[in-house]
Amino acid sequence: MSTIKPLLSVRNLTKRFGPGCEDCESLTGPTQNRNQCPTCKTILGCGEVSFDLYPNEVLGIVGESGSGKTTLLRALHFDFEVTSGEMFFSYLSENNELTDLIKQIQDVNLFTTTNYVKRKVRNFLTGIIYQNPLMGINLNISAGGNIAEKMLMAEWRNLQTIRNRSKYLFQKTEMPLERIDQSPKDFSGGMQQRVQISKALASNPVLLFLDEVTTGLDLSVQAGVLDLIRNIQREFRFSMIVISHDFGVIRLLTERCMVMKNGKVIEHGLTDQILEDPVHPYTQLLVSSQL
Amino acid sequence: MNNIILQVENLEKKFELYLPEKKVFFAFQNINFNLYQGEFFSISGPSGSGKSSLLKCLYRTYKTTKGSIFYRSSRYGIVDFTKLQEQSVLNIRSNEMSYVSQFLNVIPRISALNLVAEPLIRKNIPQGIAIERAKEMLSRLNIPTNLFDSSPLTFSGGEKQRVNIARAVIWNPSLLLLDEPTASLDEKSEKIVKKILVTMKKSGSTLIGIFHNKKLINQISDRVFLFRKEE
Ligand SMILES: Nc1ncnc2c1ncn2[C@@H]1O[C@H](COP(=O)(O)OP(=O)(O)OP(=O)(O)O)[C@@H](O)[C@H]1O
Ligand SMILES: Nc1ncnc2c1ncn2[C@@H]1O[C@H](COP(=O)(O)OP(=O)(O)O)[C@@H](O)[C@H]1O
Ligand SMILES: [Mg+2]
Ligand SMILES: [Mg+2]
Ligand SMILES: [Zn+2]
Repeated sequence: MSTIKPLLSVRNLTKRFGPGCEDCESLTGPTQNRNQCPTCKTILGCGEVSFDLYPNEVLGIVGESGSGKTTLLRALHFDFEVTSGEMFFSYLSENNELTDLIKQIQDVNLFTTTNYVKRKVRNFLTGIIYQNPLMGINLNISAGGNIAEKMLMAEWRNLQTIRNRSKYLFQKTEMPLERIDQSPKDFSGGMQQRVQISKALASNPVLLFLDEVTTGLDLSVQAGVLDLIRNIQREFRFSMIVISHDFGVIRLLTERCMVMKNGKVIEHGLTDQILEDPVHPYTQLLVSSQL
Repeated sequence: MNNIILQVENLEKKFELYLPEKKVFFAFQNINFNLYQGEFFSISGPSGSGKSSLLKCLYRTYKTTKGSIFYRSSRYGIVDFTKLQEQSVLNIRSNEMSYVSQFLNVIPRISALNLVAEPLIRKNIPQGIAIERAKEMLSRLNIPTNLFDSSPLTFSGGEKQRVNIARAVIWNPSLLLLDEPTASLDEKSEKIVKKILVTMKKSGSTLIGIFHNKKLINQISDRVFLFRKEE
């Protein structure tokens, strides 16, 4: 039996917004059909979420608005402290510069490590693409500068290498090279999203987080951005976690997915199984509500 | 009996639908059979008797509700496919087991050629070789060359079905599940498909198929499994 080690293992990840009380656990979640504790008003962002993500794998997360998808992703990106849970990263790199970091994080619960290590994992090993491009890119610097910023954060030093990679990614994301020195301020939504993608990919991450990256773009632009992401993932073979409330996106990009409701994962499985044979009543509703 | 590749025991598929109101019914119950390596096994029965559902359970597109499917994997040994870890199921799907659906369900905006080459590229076969072999396969199935670069979404029913078959057989899976793959084909295309399937069988693959054409069933199957409608 050959077993591959997961790249990312998450166990019992819980994030509550608020002080929390004894009732939180029993009064929130899908069976109670709410995510706010009536006693202390604390909100369950996500609760007891566990999963493994393998190298070169794309995992989807679907669920209604407010179900905790973004909270989960931002927790994995160390955007805030979690309430409880474990996160392990296991990665074999051929890149010598990463060897120290990788040794350092082996078998370590990343949620409880120092901010220094968290920042390193975030900058060296991951990338994130937000729904709103303005969360991921800075309008006061040029498009190329935005892409370069991610490499600088990953401690790339050679300015020529950085410049060349920015240009390479610009072309890879089908952007007109002559606009690399302009501010993304004047770019269309689709173009801004492409800059965000370049930036996220700049430091060669092994794990990419995508939060509703096509919501808000018009349909033809959506298709282009999705195809781009799909092709780039197949070429570079990094792992991705993709959030979407659109099963079309999930079908296009993922082979496995999890369904969330009121902060909890209520069903998970192979994407074709979730779509064709949803078991949980709520998943059946979600699937049948698709256009 | 070490040449059994699939052992289906007491298999049941129950649907519990909650919309528009709760409804519970069985697609099939109590299904038992063994499948031997290199065999061509046909499933036959009236419409709605659960044939497609069984095939989908064998591929894990449907969750089995009772029973076991022991599958002999070249990679994992004998496993209960109904309980196997998802990651391993995906691995088996790209290296051992293939499925031709009754209806083509492809991703838009991808050309027929790339769709057919994809399973090879996934197995790390160089792009150029994969594309060449995809061209050969499509030509063999009589898809006109001028359609290679178009998305099958715009193809005729028969053309779609042939692309679907091309995609499933191009990488020589050791187990092939076929759900009415010849339903919308003319006689000539059906003959070509039949020839491809027979060649696969000769090379050692095991095939399970649902066909409507009685003559075809008799010509290619080693055994026929009869489904009755669940009452
Ligand atoms: N910083 C915060 N402080 C307080 N509550 C928060 C915070 N961030 C998120 N929440 C709450 O947590 C719950 C989950 O929010 P989250 O943003 O994860 O939802 P989502 O699944 O991403 O929804 P959408 O599909 O609308 O983006 C919501 O009730 C939200 O209001
Ligand atoms: N995904 C599904 N959800 C609900 N019912 C289904 C689903 N798939 C099949 N069925 C039902 O199961 C029964 C068997 O269907 P199917 O396996 O397609 O039959 P066959 O292929 O023999 O014509 C039918 O009543 C069908 O409506
Ligand atoms: Mg969100
Ligand atoms: Mg059928
Ligand atoms: Zn509380």
